[in-house]
Amino acid sequence: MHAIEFEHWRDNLGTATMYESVLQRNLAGLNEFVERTRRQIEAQHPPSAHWLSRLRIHLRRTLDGASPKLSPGLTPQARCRVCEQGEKSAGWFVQTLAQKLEWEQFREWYRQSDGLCLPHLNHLLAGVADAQRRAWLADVAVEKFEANARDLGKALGRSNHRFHEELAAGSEGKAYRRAVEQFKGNDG
Amino acid sequence: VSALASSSTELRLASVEDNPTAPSLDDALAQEACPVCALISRSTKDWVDVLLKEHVTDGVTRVELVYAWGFCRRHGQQACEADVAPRGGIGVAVIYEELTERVVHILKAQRVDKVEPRKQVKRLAAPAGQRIAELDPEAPCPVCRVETEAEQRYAASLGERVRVAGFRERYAASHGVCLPHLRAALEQCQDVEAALFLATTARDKVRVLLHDVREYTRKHSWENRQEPKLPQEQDSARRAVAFEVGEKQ
Repeated sequence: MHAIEFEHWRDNLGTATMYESVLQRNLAGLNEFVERTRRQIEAQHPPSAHWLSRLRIHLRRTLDGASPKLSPGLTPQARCRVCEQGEKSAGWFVQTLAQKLEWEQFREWYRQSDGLCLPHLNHLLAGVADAQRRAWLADVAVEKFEANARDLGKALGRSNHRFHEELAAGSEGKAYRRAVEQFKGNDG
Repeated sequence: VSALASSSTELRLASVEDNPTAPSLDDALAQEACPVCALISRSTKDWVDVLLKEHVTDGVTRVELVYAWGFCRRHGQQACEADVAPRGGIGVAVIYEELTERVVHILKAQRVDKVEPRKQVKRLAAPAGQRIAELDPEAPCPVCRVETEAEQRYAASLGERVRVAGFRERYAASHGVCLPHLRAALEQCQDVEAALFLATTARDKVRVLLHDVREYTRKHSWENRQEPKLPQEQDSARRAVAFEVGEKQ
Protein backbone atom coordinates (compact mmCIF):
# COMPACT_ATOMS: atom_id res chain seq x y z
CA MET A 1 0.00 0.00 0.00
CA HIS A 2 2.68 2.50 0.99
CA ALA A 3 5.13 1.59 -1.78
CA ILE A 4 2.42 2.18 -4.35
CA GLU A 5 2.13 5.76 -3.09
CA PHE A 6 5.77 6.38 -4.02
CA GLU A 7 4.67 8.77 -6.77
CA HIS A 8 3.72 11.19 -4.00
CA TRP A 9 7.23 11.03 -2.58
CA ARG A 10 8.46 12.58 -5.88
CA ASP A 11 11.86 11.02 -5.35
CA ASN A 12 12.69 8.52 -8.04
CA LEU A 13 16.37 8.46 -7.08
CA GLY A 14 15.60 7.69 -3.44
CA THR A 15 13.15 4.97 -4.48
CA ALA A 16 15.63 3.51 -6.98
CA THR A 17 18.40 3.49 -4.33
CA MET A 18 16.20 1.67 -1.81
CA TYR A 19 14.84 -0.83 -4.29
CA GLU A 20 18.27 -1.67 -5.73
CA SER A 21 19.07 -3.57 -2.52
CA VAL A 22 15.61 -5.16 -2.46
CA LEU A 23 15.98 -6.38 -6.06
CA GLN A 24 19.46 -7.71 -5.32
CA ARG A 25 17.96 -9.75 -2.50
CA ASN A 26 15.17 -11.01 -4.79
CA LEU A 27 17.73 -12.01 -7.40
CA ALA A 28 19.71 -13.98 -4.83
CA GLY A 29 16.46 -15.64 -3.71
CA LEU A 30 15.54 -16.54 -7.28
CA ASN A 31 19.03 -17.94 -7.93
CA GLU A 32 18.75 -20.10 -4.84
CA PHE A 33 15.25 -21.27 -5.77
CA VAL A 34 16.30 -22.10 -9.36
CA GLU A 35 19.30 -24.11 -8.13
CA ARG A 36 17.23 -26.09 -5.61
CA THR A 37 14.52 -26.77 -8.21
CA ARG A 38 17.14 -27.97 -10.72
CA ARG A 39 18.58 -30.33 -8.13
CA GLN A 40 15.07 -31.63 -7.38
CA ILE A 41 14.44 -32.28 -11.09
CA GLU A 42 17.79 -34.04 -11.47
CA ALA A 43 16.98 -36.24 -8.50
CA GLN A 44 13.68 -37.13 -10.14
CA HIS A 45 15.32 -37.94 -13.49
CA PRO A 46 18.46 -40.00 -12.87
CA PRO A 47 20.28 -40.66 -16.17
CA SER A 48 20.12 -44.45 -15.98
CA ALA A 49 18.14 -46.23 -13.35
CA HIS A 50 16.52 -49.58 -12.90
CA TRP A 51 12.80 -49.67 -13.87
CA LEU A 52 11.91 -50.27 -10.24
CA SER A 53 13.71 -47.16 -9.04
CA ARG A 54 12.17 -45.18 -11.95
CA LEU A 55 8.74 -46.34 -10.75
CA ARG A 56 9.60 -45.31 -7.19
CA ILE A 57 10.76 -41.87 -8.45
CA HIS A 58 7.63 -41.46 -10.54
CA LEU A 59 5.38 -42.30 -7.60
CA ARG A 60 7.30 -39.94 -5.34
CA ARG A 61 7.04 -37.21 -7.98
CA THR A 62 3.30 -37.76 -8.28
CA LEU A 63 2.79 -37.74 -4.53
CA ASP A 64 5.00 -34.76 -3.64
CA GLY A 65 5.62 -33.15 -6.98
CA ALA A 66 5.28 -29.62 -5.61
CA SER A 67 8.14 -27.18 -6.17
CA PRO A 68 10.65 -26.47 -3.36
CA LYS A 69 9.90 -24.00 -0.60
CA LEU A 70 10.44 -20.33 -1.41
CA SER A 71 13.79 -18.80 -0.50
CA PRO A 72 13.92 -16.05 2.16
CA GLY A 73 14.92 -13.62 -0.60
CA LEU A 74 11.49 -14.02 -2.15
CA THR A 75 9.39 -13.56 0.97
CA PRO A 76 9.17 -10.47 3.20
CA GLN A 77 11.07 -10.98 6.45
CA ALA A 78 9.77 -7.86 8.19
CA ARG A 79 6.77 -5.54 8.16
CA CYS A 80 6.57 -2.36 6.07
CA ARG A 81 8.31 0.43 8.03
CA VAL A 82 5.67 3.00 7.08
CA CYS A 83 2.87 0.73 8.35
CA GLU A 84 4.74 0.31 11.65
CA GLN A 85 5.38 4.02 11.96
CA GLY A 86 1.75 4.79 11.07
CA GLU A 87 0.50 2.50 13.82
CA LYS A 88 2.88 4.06 16.34
CA SER A 89 1.78 7.56 15.34
CA ALA A 90 -1.89 6.59 15.59
CA GLY A 91 -1.19 5.32 19.12
CA TRP A 92 0.48 8.62 20.11
CA PHE A 93 -2.27 10.76 18.58
CA VAL A 94 -5.00 8.77 20.28
CA GLN A 95 -3.14 8.97 23.61
CA THR A 96 -2.79 12.75 23.25
CA LEU A 97 -6.44 13.04 22.28
CA ALA A 98 -7.46 11.07 25.37
CA GLN A 99 -5.44 13.48 27.55
CA LYS A 100 -6.78 16.60 25.83
CA LEU A 101 -10.35 15.46 26.39
CA GLU A 102 -9.91 16.46 30.04
CA TRP A 103 -9.94 20.05 28.80
CA GLU A 104 -13.45 21.45 28.33
CA GLN A 105 -12.59 23.75 25.45
CA PHE A 106 -11.00 20.83 23.61
CA ARG A 107 -14.14 18.74 24.13
CA GLU A 108 -16.14 21.52 22.51
CA TRP A 109 -13.77 21.59 19.53
CA TYR A 110 -13.98 17.81 19.30
CA ARG A 111 -17.79 17.96 19.27
CA GLN A 112 -17.70 20.50 16.45
CA SER A 113 -15.27 18.44 14.37
CA ASP A 114 -16.15 15.52 12.07
CA GLY A 115 -15.17 13.16 14.89
CA LEU A 116 -13.18 9.97 14.56
CA CYS A 117 -13.68 7.06 12.22
CA LEU A 118 -14.92 3.87 13.84
CA PRO A 119 -11.54 2.07 14.18
CA HIS A 120 -9.89 5.12 15.78
CA LEU A 121 -12.89 5.74 18.01
CA ASN A 122 -12.57 2.21 19.33
CA HIS A 123 -8.81 2.72 19.71
CA LEU A 124 -9.50 5.90 21.71
CA LEU A 125 -12.08 4.16 23.90
CA ALA A 126 -9.43 1.60 24.80
CA GLY A 127 -7.35 4.44 26.23
CA VAL A 128 -10.13 6.12 28.22
CA ALA A 129 -10.76 4.62 31.63
CA ASP A 130 -13.42 7.02 32.88
CA ALA A 131 -16.89 5.59 32.21
CA GLN A 132 -18.51 9.05 31.97
CA ARG A 133 -15.94 10.16 29.42
CA ARG A 134 -16.42 6.98 27.41
CA ALA A 135 -20.18 7.57 27.44
CA TRP A 136 -19.58 11.17 26.29
CA LEU A 137 -17.41 9.94 23.40
CA ALA A 138 -20.08 7.41 22.44
CA ASP A 139 -22.71 10.21 22.57
CA VAL A 140 -20.69 12.45 20.26
CA ALA A 141 -20.13 9.56 17.87
CA VAL A 142 -23.88 8.83 17.88
CA GLU A 143 -24.53 12.50 16.97
CA LYS A 144 -22.16 12.22 13.98
CA PHE A 145 -23.55 8.90 12.78
CA GLU A 146 -27.16 10.01 13.22
CA ALA A 147 -26.51 13.27 11.35
CA ASN A 148 -25.13 11.35 8.42
CA ALA A 149 -27.91 8.74 8.69
CA ARG A 150 -30.43 11.57 8.19
CA ASP A 151 -28.58 12.64 5.06
CA LEU A 152 -28.44 9.03 3.84
CA GLY A 153 -32.19 8.76 4.43
CA LYS A 154 -32.83 11.96 2.46
CA ALA A 155 -30.56 10.74 -0.34
CA LEU A 156 -32.44 7.46 -0.53
CA GLY A 157 -35.77 9.30 -0.46
CA ARG A 158 -34.67 11.39 -3.41
CA SER A 159 -33.24 8.50 -5.37
CA ASN A 160 -36.24 8.80 -7.65
CA HIS A 161 -35.03 10.04 -11.03
CA ARG A 162 -37.25 13.14 -10.74
CA PHE A 163 -35.08 14.42 -7.89
CA HIS A 164 -31.73 13.43 -9.34
CA GLU A 165 -30.50 17.01 -9.92
CA GLU A 166 -31.64 18.03 -6.45
CA LEU A 167 -29.79 15.10 -4.90
CA ALA A 168 -26.53 15.96 -6.62
CA ALA A 169 -26.72 19.54 -5.39
CA GLY A 170 -27.75 18.85 -1.76
CA SER A 171 -25.43 18.07 1.19
CA GLU A 172 -26.89 14.56 1.30
CA GLY A 173 -25.37 13.98 -2.14
CA LYS A 174 -22.05 13.21 -0.43
CA ALA A 175 -23.54 11.30 2.53
CA TYR A 176 -22.56 7.92 1.09
CA ARG A 177 -18.90 8.99 0.88
CA ARG A 178 -19.00 10.33 4.45
CA ALA A 179 -20.53 7.03 5.59
CA VAL A 180 -17.67 5.04 4.05
CA GLU A 181 -15.19 7.39 5.78
CA GLN A 182 -17.00 7.15 9.11
CA PHE A 183 -16.59 3.37 9.05
CA LYS A 184 -13.05 2.96 7.78
CA GLY A 185 -11.43 6.41 7.69
CA ASN A 186 -10.02 8.39 4.79
CA ASP A 187 -6.66 8.94 3.20
CA GLY A 188 -6.25 12.33 4.87
CA VAL B 1 6.05 -46.09 -16.41
CA SER B 2 6.50 -43.69 -19.35
CA ALA B 3 3.03 -44.58 -20.66
CA LEU B 4 1.57 -43.93 -17.23
CA ALA B 5 3.42 -40.65 -16.97
CA SER B 6 2.42 -39.46 -20.43
CA SER B 7 -1.25 -40.41 -19.98
CA SER B 8 -1.35 -38.60 -16.65
CA THR B 9 0.27 -35.53 -18.29
CA GLU B 10 -2.29 -35.63 -21.12
CA LEU B 11 -5.12 -35.84 -18.63
CA ARG B 12 -3.73 -32.90 -16.70
CA LEU B 13 -3.21 -30.88 -19.90
CA ALA B 14 -6.81 -31.54 -20.90
CA SER B 15 -7.93 -30.04 -17.63
CA VAL B 16 -5.63 -27.07 -18.31
CA GLU B 17 -7.44 -26.39 -21.60
CA ASP B 18 -10.80 -26.64 -19.81
CA ASN B 19 -9.71 -24.04 -17.29
CA PRO B 20 -12.12 -21.09 -17.65
CA THR B 21 -9.50 -18.59 -16.50
CA ALA B 22 -7.06 -19.65 -19.25
CA PRO B 23 -8.32 -17.40 -22.11
CA SER B 24 -8.31 -14.28 -19.95
CA LEU B 25 -4.82 -15.07 -18.69
CA ASP B 26 -3.64 -15.43 -22.30
CA ASP B 27 -5.18 -12.07 -23.21
CA ALA B 28 -3.70 -10.33 -20.17
CA LEU B 29 -0.16 -11.23 -21.29
CA ALA B 30 -0.38 -8.48 -23.92
CA GLN B 31 -0.43 -5.79 -21.22
CA GLU B 32 2.59 -3.86 -19.98
CA ALA B 33 1.83 -4.89 -16.41
CA CYS B 34 1.54 -7.99 -14.24
CA PRO B 35 -1.21 -10.03 -15.97
CA VAL B 36 -2.51 -11.42 -12.68
CA CYS B 37 -2.78 -7.90 -11.18
CA ALA B 38 -4.68 -6.76 -14.29
CA LEU B 39 -7.10 -9.68 -14.10
CA ILE B 40 -7.69 -9.28 -10.36
CA SER B 41 -8.34 -5.59 -10.84
CA ARG B 42 -10.93 -6.40 -13.50
CA SER B 43 -12.50 -9.18 -11.38
CA THR B 44 -12.94 -7.00 -8.30
CA LYS B 45 -14.20 -4.05 -10.33
CA ASP B 46 -16.82 -6.27 -11.99
CA TRP B 47 -17.77 -7.80 -8.63
CA VAL B 48 -18.24 -4.38 -7.02
CA ASP B 49 -20.30 -3.20 -10.02
CA VAL B 50 -22.58 -6.23 -9.85
CA LEU B 51 -22.91 -5.96 -6.07
CA LEU B 52 -23.96 -2.31 -6.26
CA LYS B 53 -26.27 -2.89 -9.19
CA GLU B 54 -27.93 -6.17 -8.18
CA HIS B 55 -27.12 -7.25 -4.63
CA VAL B 56 -27.37 -4.32 -2.23
CA THR B 57 -30.57 -5.78 -0.80
CA ASP B 58 -29.43 -9.41 -1.02
CA GLY B 59 -29.42 -11.05 2.41
CA VAL B 60 -26.16 -12.97 2.11
CA THR B 61 -24.25 -9.95 0.80
CA ARG B 62 -25.65 -7.75 3.54
CA VAL B 63 -24.70 -10.23 6.28
CA GLU B 64 -21.13 -10.35 4.97
CA LEU B 65 -21.01 -6.54 4.89
CA VAL B 66 -22.40 -6.32 8.42
CA TYR B 67 -19.75 -8.71 9.78
CA ALA B 68 -17.03 -6.71 8.01
CA TRP B 69 -18.51 -3.29 8.96
CA GLY B 70 -18.66 -2.43 5.26
CA PHE B 71 -15.82 -2.27 2.79
CA CYS B 72 -12.20 -1.59 3.73
CA ARG B 73 -10.98 1.95 3.07
CA ARG B 74 -9.56 1.19 -0.39
CA HIS B 75 -12.57 -0.76 -1.60
CA GLY B 76 -14.97 1.70 0.04
CA GLN B 77 -13.51 4.42 -2.14
CA GLN B 78 -13.65 2.10 -5.14
CA ALA B 79 -17.32 1.39 -4.42
CA CYS B 80 -18.08 5.13 -4.19
CA GLU B 81 -16.37 5.75 -7.53
CA ALA B 82 -18.21 2.84 -9.14
CA ASP B 83 -21.57 3.98 -7.76
CA VAL B 84 -21.40 7.73 -8.31
CA ALA B 85 -21.97 7.99 -12.06
CA PRO B 86 -24.65 5.33 -12.64
CA ARG B 87 -26.65 5.69 -9.41
CA GLY B 88 -25.45 8.80 -7.57
CA GLY B 89 -24.13 6.68 -4.69
CA ILE B 90 -27.49 5.09 -3.86
CA GLY B 91 -26.11 1.53 -3.73
CA VAL B 92 -23.47 2.54 -1.18
CA ALA B 93 -26.06 4.60 0.72
CA VAL B 94 -28.39 1.59 1.05
CA ILE B 95 -25.55 -0.54 2.48
CA TYR B 96 -24.28 2.08 4.92
CA GLU B 97 -27.71 3.16 6.14
CA GLU B 98 -28.17 -0.22 7.78
CA LEU B 99 -24.60 -0.29 9.12
CA THR B 100 -25.06 3.17 10.61
CA GLU B 101 -28.23 2.05 12.41
CA ARG B 102 -26.32 -0.88 13.90
CA VAL B 103 -23.40 1.26 15.05
CA VAL B 104 -25.71 3.82 16.62
CA HIS B 105 -27.48 1.02 18.50
CA ILE B 106 -24.16 -0.33 19.86
CA LEU B 107 -22.88 3.13 20.82
CA LYS B 108 -26.12 4.07 22.55
CA ALA B 109 -25.78 0.97 24.70
CA GLN B 110 -22.55 2.52 26.07
CA ARG B 111 -24.42 5.43 27.64
CA VAL B 112 -24.29 4.99 31.40
CA ASP B 113 -27.71 6.57 31.99
CA LYS B 114 -29.39 4.14 29.60
CA VAL B 115 -27.93 1.08 31.21
CA GLU B 116 -29.73 -0.90 33.92
CA PRO B 117 -28.43 0.02 37.41
CA ARG B 118 -26.88 -3.43 37.91
CA LYS B 119 -24.96 -3.22 34.63
CA GLN B 120 -24.16 0.44 35.32
CA VAL B 121 -22.24 -0.46 38.47
CA LYS B 122 -20.44 -3.16 36.56
CA ARG B 123 -19.57 -0.76 33.73
CA LEU B 124 -18.35 1.96 36.10
CA ALA B 125 -16.22 -0.59 37.87
CA ALA B 126 -14.77 -1.84 34.59
CA PRO B 127 -10.98 -1.76 34.35
CA ALA B 128 -9.25 1.02 32.44
CA GLY B 129 -10.36 1.51 28.85
CA GLN B 130 -11.65 -1.36 26.82
CA ARG B 131 -12.49 -1.54 23.16
CA ILE B 132 -16.11 -2.13 22.27
CA ALA B 133 -15.76 -5.65 20.92
CA GLU B 134 -18.88 -5.36 18.74
CA LEU B 135 -17.27 -2.50 16.82
CA ASP B 136 -14.35 -4.62 15.65
CA PRO B 137 -14.97 -6.31 12.27
CA GLU B 138 -15.54 -10.05 12.51
CA ALA B 139 -14.91 -10.71 8.82
CA PRO B 140 -12.64 -9.26 6.15
CA CYS B 141 -13.89 -6.76 3.59
CA PRO B 142 -15.92 -8.80 1.05
CA VAL B 143 -14.02 -7.25 -1.86
CA CYS B 144 -10.70 -8.18 -0.22
CA ARG B 145 -12.05 -11.74 0.04
CA VAL B 146 -12.97 -11.76 -3.66
CA GLU B 147 -9.55 -10.31 -4.48
CA THR B 148 -7.77 -13.07 -2.52
CA GLU B 149 -9.87 -15.76 -4.17
CA ALA B 150 -9.18 -14.34 -7.64
CA GLU B 151 -5.48 -14.12 -6.81
CA GLN B 152 -5.35 -17.80 -5.81
CA ARG B 153 -7.35 -18.81 -8.87
CA TYR B 154 -5.22 -16.90 -11.39
CA ALA B 155 -1.94 -17.85 -9.71
CA ALA B 156 -2.93 -21.53 -9.85
CA SER B 157 -4.02 -21.09 -13.45
CA LEU B 158 -0.65 -19.54 -14.32
CA GLY B 159 1.16 -22.54 -12.83
CA GLU B 160 -0.95 -24.80 -15.04
CA ARG B 161 -0.75 -22.72 -18.20
CA VAL B 162 3.05 -22.53 -18.28
CA ARG B 163 3.06 -26.27 -18.98
CA VAL B 164 1.69 -25.48 -22.44
CA ALA B 165 4.53 -24.73 -24.89
CA GLY B 166 2.81 -21.90 -26.80
CA PHE B 167 1.88 -20.12 -23.58
CA ARG B 168 5.44 -20.40 -22.30
CA GLU B 169 6.76 -18.48 -25.29
CA ARG B 170 4.15 -15.76 -24.93
CA TYR B 171 4.76 -15.56 -21.18
CA ALA B 172 8.55 -15.29 -21.61
CA ALA B 173 8.04 -12.38 -24.04
CA SER B 174 5.49 -10.65 -21.78
CA HIS B 175 5.97 -8.26 -18.84
CA GLY B 176 5.78 -11.20 -16.40
CA VAL B 177 4.13 -11.32 -12.98
CA CYS B 178 4.91 -9.22 -9.93
CA LEU B 179 6.66 -10.79 -6.93
CA PRO B 180 3.53 -11.39 -4.79
CA HIS B 181 1.89 -13.26 -7.68
CA LEU B 182 5.10 -15.10 -8.53
CA ARG B 183 5.17 -16.30 -4.91
CA ALA B 184 1.52 -17.36 -5.10
CA ALA B 185 2.08 -19.19 -8.40
CA LEU B 186 5.23 -20.98 -7.12
CA GLU B 187 3.52 -22.00 -3.89
CA GLN B 188 0.61 -23.53 -5.76
CA CYS B 189 2.62 -25.01 -8.62
CA GLN B 190 2.35 -28.81 -8.65
CA ASP B 191 4.80 -29.22 -11.51
CA VAL B 192 8.48 -28.72 -10.69
CA GLU B 193 9.45 -27.97 -14.30
CA ALA B 194 6.73 -25.30 -14.54
CA ALA B 195 8.03 -23.78 -11.29
CA LEU B 196 11.57 -23.80 -12.69
CA PHE B 197 10.37 -22.02 -15.83
CA LEU B 198 8.51 -19.35 -13.81
CA ALA B 199 11.51 -18.78 -11.55
CA THR B 200 14.09 -18.58 -14.38
CA THR B 201 11.88 -16.20 -16.39
CA ALA B 202 11.42 -14.01 -13.32
CA ARG B 203 15.17 -14.10 -12.67
CA ASP B 204 15.88 -12.84 -16.20
CA LYS B 205 13.38 -10.02 -15.79
CA VAL B 206 14.75 -9.04 -12.37
CA ARG B 207 18.28 -8.92 -13.84
CA VAL B 208 17.11 -6.45 -16.52
CA LEU B 209 15.20 -4.38 -13.96
CA LEU B 210 18.15 -4.31 -11.56
CA HIS B 211 20.43 -3.20 -14.40
CA ASP B 212 18.03 -0.33 -15.26
CA VAL B 213 17.78 0.73 -11.61
CA ARG B 214 21.58 0.69 -11.26
CA GLU B 215 22.06 2.68 -14.43
CA TYR B 216 19.49 5.22 -13.28
CA THR B 217 21.28 5.79 -9.97
CA ARG B 218 24.75 5.72 -11.59
CA LYS B 219 23.77 8.39 -14.12
CA HIS B 220 22.71 10.64 -11.26
CA SER B 221 26.26 10.95 -9.99
CA TRP B 222 28.08 14.14 -10.91
CA GLU B 223 30.73 12.53 -13.11
CA ASN B 224 28.11 10.69 -15.23
CA ARG B 225 25.60 13.51 -15.50
CA GLN B 226 26.21 13.97 -19.23
CA GLU B 227 25.10 10.45 -20.10
CA PRO B 228 21.53 10.33 -21.41
CA LYS B 229 19.02 8.51 -19.20
CA LEU B 230 17.07 5.99 -21.24
CA PRO B 231 13.26 5.83 -20.91
CA GLN B 232 13.39 2.36 -19.30
CA GLU B 233 15.87 3.70 -16.74
CA GLN B 234 13.72 6.75 -15.99
CA ASP B 235 10.81 4.40 -15.32
CA SER B 236 12.84 1.84 -13.37
CA ALA B 237 11.89 3.04 -9.86
CA ARG B 238 8.18 2.73 -10.65
CA ARG B 239 8.76 -0.70 -12.23
CA ALA B 240 10.75 -1.85 -9.19
CA VAL B 241 7.92 -0.85 -6.85
CA ALA B 242 5.34 -2.48 -9.13
CA PHE B 243 7.39 -5.69 -9.16
CA GLU B 244 7.66 -5.80 -5.36
CA VAL B 245 4.05 -5.03 -4.44
CA GLY B 246 2.00 -5.37 -7.61
CA GLU B 247 0.43 -2.82 -9.91
CA LYS B 248 -1.50 0.17 -8.61
CA GLN B 249 -5.24 -0.49 -8.86
